[in-house]
Amino acid sequence: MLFNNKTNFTKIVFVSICLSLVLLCLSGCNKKIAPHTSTTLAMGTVISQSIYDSDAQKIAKEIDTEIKNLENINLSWRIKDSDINRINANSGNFTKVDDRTIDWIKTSIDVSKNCNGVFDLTVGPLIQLWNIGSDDAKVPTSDELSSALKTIDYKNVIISGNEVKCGKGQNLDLGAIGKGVACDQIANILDNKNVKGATISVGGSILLYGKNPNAANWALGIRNPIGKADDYVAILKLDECFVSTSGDYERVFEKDGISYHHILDPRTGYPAKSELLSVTVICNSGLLSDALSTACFILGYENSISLLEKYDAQGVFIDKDLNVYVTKGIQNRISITEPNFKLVKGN
Amino acid sequence: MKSNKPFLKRADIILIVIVIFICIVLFLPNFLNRNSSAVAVVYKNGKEVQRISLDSVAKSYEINLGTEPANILLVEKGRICYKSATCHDKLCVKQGWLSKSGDTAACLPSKTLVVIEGQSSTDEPDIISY
Repeated sequence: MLFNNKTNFTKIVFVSICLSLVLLCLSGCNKKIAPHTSTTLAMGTVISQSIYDSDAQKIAKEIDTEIKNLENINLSWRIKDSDINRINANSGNFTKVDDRTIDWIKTSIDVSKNCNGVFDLTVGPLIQLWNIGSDDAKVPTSDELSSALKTIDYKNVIISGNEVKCGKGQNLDLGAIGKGVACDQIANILDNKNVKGATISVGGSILLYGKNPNAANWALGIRNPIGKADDYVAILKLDECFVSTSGDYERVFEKDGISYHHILDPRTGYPAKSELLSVTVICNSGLLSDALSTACFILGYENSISLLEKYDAQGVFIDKDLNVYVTKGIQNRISITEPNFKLVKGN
Repeated sequence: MKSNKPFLKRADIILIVIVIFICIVLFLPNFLNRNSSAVAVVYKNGKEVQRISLDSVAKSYEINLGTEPANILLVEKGRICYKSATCHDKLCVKQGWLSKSGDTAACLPSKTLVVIEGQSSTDEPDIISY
């Protein structure tokens, strides 16, 4: 007889079940529920989508279409007959545009007012002059810079109903908010589809949507500004929110051994001389996170705190000494993963 | 009164060994799949043009994507990169090796993209800010 009594049989069954559970745990507990992922190119950047939904493939395609429409119909100054292209072509006169474009311009002007114009949607001529990120990038002459700077002033942008007018010779450029706006529109699509969770990145702007099916929060890696694109220096545990990062490592142009980054200071006409390597802003709007990350990069850490407070936003600032300053609201959510970087709990 | 009988007889031990063996056989695929090969997916003009199982690469080789500006990919066991490009900023080349799930490199001027697919580890963040 295999078993000498019933007690031993029970023990063996118990031991076997325990072993099975241990093995099951070892084999399965490190596995994530996998989202549907897709990566495409649009808005001059990489769009990455990870969507947790049975209908994710269809939703991802709808999002791709929405992004292309935003670029073609509303936001791109380069694309003929987009709202921004028409406003610029008709500068000095009112141009009728989409209601959404009106809302985005209004919010941009509000941010410009609150940061004393370091973020300015009329920065178009300056951007086109440097043209960083294209084959034609160049360091402008002081005369060229001075004539471009004369055109920059958000106060000359007037809104009347569903019409917008910029000053004669002015050029709007919503490049500093376009990717954030895309994240806002993607969140609307995910709302309509009742998606449970998703992470979407449109270049430097990120949407953390709904719940993470694999953990209590979303884990956001803050890119190492002096490392490779997939290196990160800290992890932030976040709930649903919008995140944008501006850094001097993004589009860069080199001339005579000098490196010029793409975040231009409308006060000087040159790439912002910031003590910072990167700024990450977290808030409840894609447009605001995008605009604020640009403004905060130019303003620097100390001068950014009151601006972030105005919009109930949080920030992570990495300076050239590799200090990582974190605003109050997220200090208990961050952990540094790269030993060369030092956490500084700021205001 | 204590019994002198052993807790487990030889036959019981054999049975436990058999049960452990069955458990291992049943769960082995899960252990193996955890380190399943990363797959590099190459896109050109928004269309998937190649899918490369990186762990199956025996000898390194190059792929000319036939684009303008030109892109040459270098494929090695477990990793892939843009080896060279004739675009102006060469951000695609600066991106370096791609090996982990989610790693992405793109050449916007030539409209090409390489994405690593595969199961990601729980230790990695869900997304990285750029």
